[in-house]
Amino acid sequence: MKLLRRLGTAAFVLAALAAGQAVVSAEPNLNHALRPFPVAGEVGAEVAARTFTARVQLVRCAAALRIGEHVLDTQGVWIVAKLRVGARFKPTSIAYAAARDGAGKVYQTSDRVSLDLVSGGLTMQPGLPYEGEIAIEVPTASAGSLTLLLADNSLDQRMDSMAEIRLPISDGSACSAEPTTLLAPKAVS
Amino acid sequence: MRGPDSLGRGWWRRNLWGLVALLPMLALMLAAAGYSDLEFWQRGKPAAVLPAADGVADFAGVRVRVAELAPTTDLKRGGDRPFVVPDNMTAWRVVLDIEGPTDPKQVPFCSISIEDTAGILYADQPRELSSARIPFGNCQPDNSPVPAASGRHQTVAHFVTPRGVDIAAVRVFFGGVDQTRYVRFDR
Repeated sequence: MKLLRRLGTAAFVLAALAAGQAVVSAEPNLNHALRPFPVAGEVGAEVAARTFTARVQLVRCAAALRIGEHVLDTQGVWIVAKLRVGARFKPTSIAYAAARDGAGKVYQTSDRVSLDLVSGGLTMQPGLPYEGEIAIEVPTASAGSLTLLLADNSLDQRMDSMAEIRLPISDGSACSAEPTTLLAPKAVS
Repeated sequence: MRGPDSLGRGWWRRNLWGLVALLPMLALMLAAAGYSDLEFWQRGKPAAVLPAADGVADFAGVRVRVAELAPTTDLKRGGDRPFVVPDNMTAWRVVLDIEGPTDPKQVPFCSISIEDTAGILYADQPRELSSARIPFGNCQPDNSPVPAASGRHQTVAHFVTPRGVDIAAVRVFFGGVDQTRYVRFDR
């Protein structure tokens, strides 16, 4: 009887340890717990993240970008989004822009092209919005399932709000073959 | 789990007070953890230091007062050409009188911002004024519009706000000296 009780105690301890391990290793894990707070929106609607607002006004895609005299081609497609962005309650930059496809893969803005609006250090004063275009290079197969991601911190987007705007491109293979140009940021008057 | 003890008490009776105490202890543990996070978050927010009744703040080794806070329209481009502020915004000029060490190298750098009546902040050197010829409002004597003398000089900062916004306060932050506080001059 005594042996049986000891075995039962040992089984209880093992069960408690196993339950603890299951809790620790179960989803959601730490990365999931620290993920950004999504603020979802649609094209044409203003999305209010914690420190900035953003509205995607137009979206198009093209096989190449024309930057001055240079043409930047790609093995995928360039997604070009016209944005209207503004700071909310303090001077703010939108330093992170990316596109996430339906499979969860994230494509950040390329350093092949200078994008003052989102990664060029444009600091916006509250109430004085800017308009301009950004371009993100993605595989053609991903172009039909993209969500634009915008955040104010280029290095760490955890535990802060992130604008998530679904981009209505139906088919990446139908993108324009002609090079397209980007509108530079300008203050909205 | 053993059977009854010599007094005939079962496991639940023997551990009654421990079980009763468990819930308050759990609540206390959660409260302590939450308080710790709250305190950490509050410590991350710089606290305001107010000037004395004469409007002078003695802080970070210098004495500072706001000499001017007003809209401005007399901005210049290079070559002394006028800079026209766009219709939808107001440009503001803040002038601080600073009295500090006679050695200019000992004067701490500052950053200046203005706060409107809704608590919204605006920073110095806005992109909207990048074509205007404006000085750095960084509290350094070599940017003073008047010659520094006997440890006295001025610093001038410019801002833009949407038209119609009213300014309630000037904030001066000496981050190299104190990361936890800033001087707040209410208008």
